[in-house]
Amino acid sequence: MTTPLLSRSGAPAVKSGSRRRRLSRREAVLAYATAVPAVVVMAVLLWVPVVSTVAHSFTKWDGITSTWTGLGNYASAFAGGQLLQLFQTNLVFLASIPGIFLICIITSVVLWERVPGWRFFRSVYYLPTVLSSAVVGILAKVLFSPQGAVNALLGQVGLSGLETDWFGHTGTAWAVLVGAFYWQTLGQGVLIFLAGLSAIPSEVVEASQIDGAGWWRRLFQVILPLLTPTVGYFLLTNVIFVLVDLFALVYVTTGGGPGGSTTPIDFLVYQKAFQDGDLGSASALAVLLLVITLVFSSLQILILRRVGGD
Amino acid sequence: MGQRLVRVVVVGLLSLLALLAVYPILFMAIGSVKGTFEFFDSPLALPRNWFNFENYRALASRFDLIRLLGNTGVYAGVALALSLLLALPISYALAKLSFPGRRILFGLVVGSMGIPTIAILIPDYLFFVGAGFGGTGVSVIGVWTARSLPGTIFLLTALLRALPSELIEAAKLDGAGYLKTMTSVVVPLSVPGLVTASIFSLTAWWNDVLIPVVFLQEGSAQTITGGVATLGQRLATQDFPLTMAGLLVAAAAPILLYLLLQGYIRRGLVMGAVK
Repeated sequence: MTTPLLSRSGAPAVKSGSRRRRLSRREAVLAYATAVPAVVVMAVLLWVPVVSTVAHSFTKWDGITSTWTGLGNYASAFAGGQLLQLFQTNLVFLASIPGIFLICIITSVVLWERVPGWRFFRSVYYLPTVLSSAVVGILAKVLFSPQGAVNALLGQVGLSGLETDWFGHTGTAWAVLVGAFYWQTLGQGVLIFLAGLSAIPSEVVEASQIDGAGWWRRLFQVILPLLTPTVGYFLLTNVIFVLVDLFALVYVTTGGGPGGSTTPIDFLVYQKAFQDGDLGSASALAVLLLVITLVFSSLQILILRRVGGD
Repeated sequence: MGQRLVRVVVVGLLSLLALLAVYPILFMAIGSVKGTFEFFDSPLALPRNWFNFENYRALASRFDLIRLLGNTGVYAGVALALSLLLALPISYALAKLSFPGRRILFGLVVGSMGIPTIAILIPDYLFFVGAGFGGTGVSVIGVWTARSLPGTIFLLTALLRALPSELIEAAKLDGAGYLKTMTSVVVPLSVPGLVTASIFSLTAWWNDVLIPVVFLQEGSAQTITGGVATLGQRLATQDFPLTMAGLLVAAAAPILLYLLLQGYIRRGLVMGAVK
């Protein structure tokens, strides 16, 4: 998608100097006038709030009055190596991304290579992806409740030794949460990897087949390198998701428990702000999250730009 | 022989994965027509009566379901109209008009795509409470619109850039002013982009939990997903079948939207991922 060189501004290049200047000034005025409404909305509800969050992260703030405390909020967030603990749940999810990546890529390649009915599978795998995290979370809560379907199934197949109070222990609670995340991500992965695979010229793959390369070697040495942008997109969107979008899932499923051990950072900001009324330290945590996310989203935008042009 | 065996195993595994993907959805549908006692007696069994809509009836009376659905529809409708009306002119300016500061503005828009909701939540909350809109749909519409603007503008700008400028020039030569050019050339030609952007915004809003929970709390102005989330938080075991019915209602719209508009959704998602 490239823009034709000449036609971007309305005026053909041969007009006389002053006329052209007048036309381009009119065009600029029109552009500003039509851009202003959207700019105002973004300024009032996005840009000023971001600045306000950053500014208030250096204060003690109750929503009405704020007193400057310098780096106090950050110091207490970093104190005693607490930071890792604060980000613990996000890190657990982050560590789970390679697993779902492998599941998605292997499923996609197998579907692409060997299954004539791959469209059907793609649609079925995608269904959970359209559901809200709230729906998925409550579903997980019911399925894994002590009297739920999972324990009942374990009992019926003679594995009653594995029946457990899934949300009573941090480890199993994480397992259920990550399972719900995997369940919702499979469809996205398969969808985009199949699209990426269909863009690979079939001669390339055939050549490597003649080479006699084994399936796994072909996957890692031939196919994956050709899918680099797609893989990058998948990893980045999911890294960003597990950093900033876990609130809904955790809020309904574990409520952050047991004992606050499955609380992701956005949930913690919510609790500090809207339950404890400590808006200053909530802002500081939000700023930490903002900085981390901006790094990852600028990487994502670099990838997106290849599509959007400019 | 070996090839065939591999194929059987592969299709078997893929089918198992497909079963895992749909089973919880089936479980939800089946559970929603069970009685409480029946549900706990045998959570895995098929329902005794497939047409037992008792839970749905209870949902409508105890949970004010119609109101929640209506709220969501109104908020999403207004936010969608607002975000498209705001995004289209600025996208056209960014794509087809030249003006000083164009790159900076585009950079700001693109940069805003990465702002997490949590980083604007507190000031936005205080803003709407201060303006007298605390606990009302206005606040949700405002934040939803603002959140979706950067992504919508980015998408529309990319698509409008690809519009042949000759068509726009031709309309101008015919004496069409700005408004006429927009309504007779630009809008009709950007319908696919507008649909894709709308689907993204609508699913994001319909599925949103954080903004409705923070801005509307437990009031009667709540959205369906926000209502389901608050219900889920205090979920008592005897309510499981009732909850399954509620979940199915909340899930119906996105599932329908997906089944009807699969092609658009796929194209939109793939746009960022391939090339």
